[in-house]
Amino acid sequence: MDGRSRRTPTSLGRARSEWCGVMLLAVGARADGQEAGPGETPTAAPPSATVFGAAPLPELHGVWSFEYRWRKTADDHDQDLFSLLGLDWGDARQRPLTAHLLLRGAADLDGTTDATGGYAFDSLADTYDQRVTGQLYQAWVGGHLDGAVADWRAGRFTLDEAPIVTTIDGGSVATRPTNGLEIEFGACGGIPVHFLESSSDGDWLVGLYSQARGWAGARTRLDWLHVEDETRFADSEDDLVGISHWQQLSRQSDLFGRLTWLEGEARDLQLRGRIDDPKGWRASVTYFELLSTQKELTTEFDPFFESAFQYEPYRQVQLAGGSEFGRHLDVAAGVDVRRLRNRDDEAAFNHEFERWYLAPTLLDLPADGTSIAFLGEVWDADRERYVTLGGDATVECGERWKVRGGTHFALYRYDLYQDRELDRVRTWFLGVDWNVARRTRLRADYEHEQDRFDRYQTLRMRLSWAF
Amino acid sequence: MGLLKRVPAILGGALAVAALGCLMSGRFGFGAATPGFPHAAHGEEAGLDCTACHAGAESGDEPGMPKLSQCQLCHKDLDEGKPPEQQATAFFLENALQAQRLAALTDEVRFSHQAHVASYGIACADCHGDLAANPRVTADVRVTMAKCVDCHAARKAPNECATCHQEIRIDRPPADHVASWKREHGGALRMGGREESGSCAICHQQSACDACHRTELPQDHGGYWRRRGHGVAVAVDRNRCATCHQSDSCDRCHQESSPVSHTASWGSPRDRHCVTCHLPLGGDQGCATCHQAAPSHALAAPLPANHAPGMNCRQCHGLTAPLPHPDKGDQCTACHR
Repeated sequence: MDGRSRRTPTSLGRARSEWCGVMLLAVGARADGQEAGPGETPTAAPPSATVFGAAPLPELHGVWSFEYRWRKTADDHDQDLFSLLGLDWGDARQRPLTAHLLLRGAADLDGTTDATGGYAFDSLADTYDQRVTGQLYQAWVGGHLDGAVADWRAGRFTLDEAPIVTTIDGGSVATRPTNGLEIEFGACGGIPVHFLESSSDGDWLVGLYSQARGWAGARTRLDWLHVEDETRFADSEDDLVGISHWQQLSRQSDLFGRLTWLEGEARDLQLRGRIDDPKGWRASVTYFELLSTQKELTTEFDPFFESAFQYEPYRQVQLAGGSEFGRHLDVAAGVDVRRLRNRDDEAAFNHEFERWYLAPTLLDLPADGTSIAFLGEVWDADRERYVTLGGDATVECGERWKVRGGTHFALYRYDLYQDRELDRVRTWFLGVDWNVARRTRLRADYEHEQDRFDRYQTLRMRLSWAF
Repeated sequence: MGLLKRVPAILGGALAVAALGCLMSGRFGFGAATPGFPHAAHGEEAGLDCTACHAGAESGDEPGMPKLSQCQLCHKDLDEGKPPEQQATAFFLENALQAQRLAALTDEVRFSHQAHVASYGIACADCHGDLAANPRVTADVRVTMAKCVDCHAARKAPNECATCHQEIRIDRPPADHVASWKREHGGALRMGGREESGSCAICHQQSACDACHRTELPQDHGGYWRRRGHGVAVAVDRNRCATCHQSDSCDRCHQESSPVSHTASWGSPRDRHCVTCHLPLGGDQGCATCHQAAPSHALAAPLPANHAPGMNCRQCHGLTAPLPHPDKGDQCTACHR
């Protein structure tokens, strides 16, 4: 068999994962300016980075949270500890350098795993050998220059303006917009980050883009991405070209369109229009068409091929909108309709469907500080149907406390072994938010879920500190 | 091949959008629908001071946009013999200035020229740059909010929202941040791209976005979802999964752990596992989704010589000769050919 068919974590990946996890769980981060020595009065950090509308922030600021999770079924139980650290350094408007870091660590406190599928709480974390794991999501430094090259970034960051959103370990540069058309060029390159892949050997990505503002309210962007990826069955490489256009029609309305080609063949077409009226109503319409069959591709473009097989061409229209009715009621609703280009392509993982949702919300009713939200959603395909109904209420008790509670019902109808299966899942949940101090919040949630196979209880306690 | 037929329609649609954009942006004041005023001809070339035309800029809250009568003091003689579109009157309609005003503030914003010029000694060029040399007013001469904030920060002036805004406040979310904003903000951000994320940055730090997106799960991602429900959802619409997941998360889980359905009659003798992938037939990988070393099903025994292709397999194999397959002979010829 192919030697690459089953990868094991590399020693480097394992060491990196452990370091991230242990660092977060064992070490606190201080970011409140200078530390005071014994007997000294701590001095406030000098106001430097500025955020609109707030008192100047310390030069280093962010969020740090701890979460304890306890889960139980009739036969199994599980306890985990998580920590998330997000750091922002600098302000792009004030400093030539900025940086961002996002780490998450997880520790399996009871260490129960079972690869046979008999353990209710099997998870991706259990596919690693160690009980403490970590993920480095973002770690980059960026610069803002006065010359021809206006922006650069290096480290681990997300390409969020490209036709596909992906994270890379690498760098990017962008030129300063020039002349009346504000023409801008940019490039990026590096190793794509697949957080759950055991090895990045053979993976790399390079991209170029050009952008211009041809007329008022318009922005047009041309992208090219080349990706190489060693996947499970073969080495893949893909080239994507995309052209995107944003058009602002007014302060409240805009249009968007994108057309992409993959390996020289048209891949997808996306058109959107949106209006957001200050009188309290909003509407959007989206048209999406998958223009060609998507099979095994690099991870960035892969349509979950190994689990769901190939993705057949289809057209989909989405209408969504909402409106305020007076001071106390907001209603949001939407409908999606998908149709395959070729009806014969209907298969287990290629369906035509209709989807509707309705989400009314009562605000400050029955009393100020109370909101009651409802959600009904139906996904209706030929053999599968998925319905959810739910409601939750949030009550503010003074300035520091907030209480939440609600229920959620889901109905799954599907074909398994050519029999009609119908599963009902009922969930009840209750939560409390407590603003312990100005920048510290404690949150506790309890959830009870019941289906025909099992009953799950989940308790979460999260302490967050924004600094 | 279908796209070739659509190219003219797509191009036509794109041109229509562009034309609509030009038309609408002009109508709503974003485009150069009216003549752009040549400040360079008045400032740099004629040597006029800013206050020669903007008389009220130092003594009032407004920038003192000139009236036609003020321009006519010079242009009545200067424009003699010129075509109408090159006269000063082209910038006015019934004595109201029609020239493009890219720096116009909404009523919601408080700003006083007098306070900045007379009280704080700020020069015109400190905010408006080299406008005196600008030949035609374009978007790049706008005084942006970022510039205001930078200057306030540098001079240690108040930078709270309420300093300039009458309604916008850091502790008061925008009107659309209620009700279903948690569901809709992703779409709004994707629509605007970098422009929209810049608006979000007014109040939100990147860490705040990450802290939510890396810790909050959708409501339906509970115990049932993890063990069975997500399979139903991905069968209906795999695009929803792609919002947060790439294929490596599916592949790792499916390679390392068995689905919950691998119990009871999954294996021999009922072999119900076959049905999941083979009935109805679909996809190239089949059981190779999970199994890597299973013998090829192409090695299935062919039909015996005395079996005609159209024979009803179930007549014998469903009733008298047992089959290990759960379909009882309905799809035999899918493998046994």
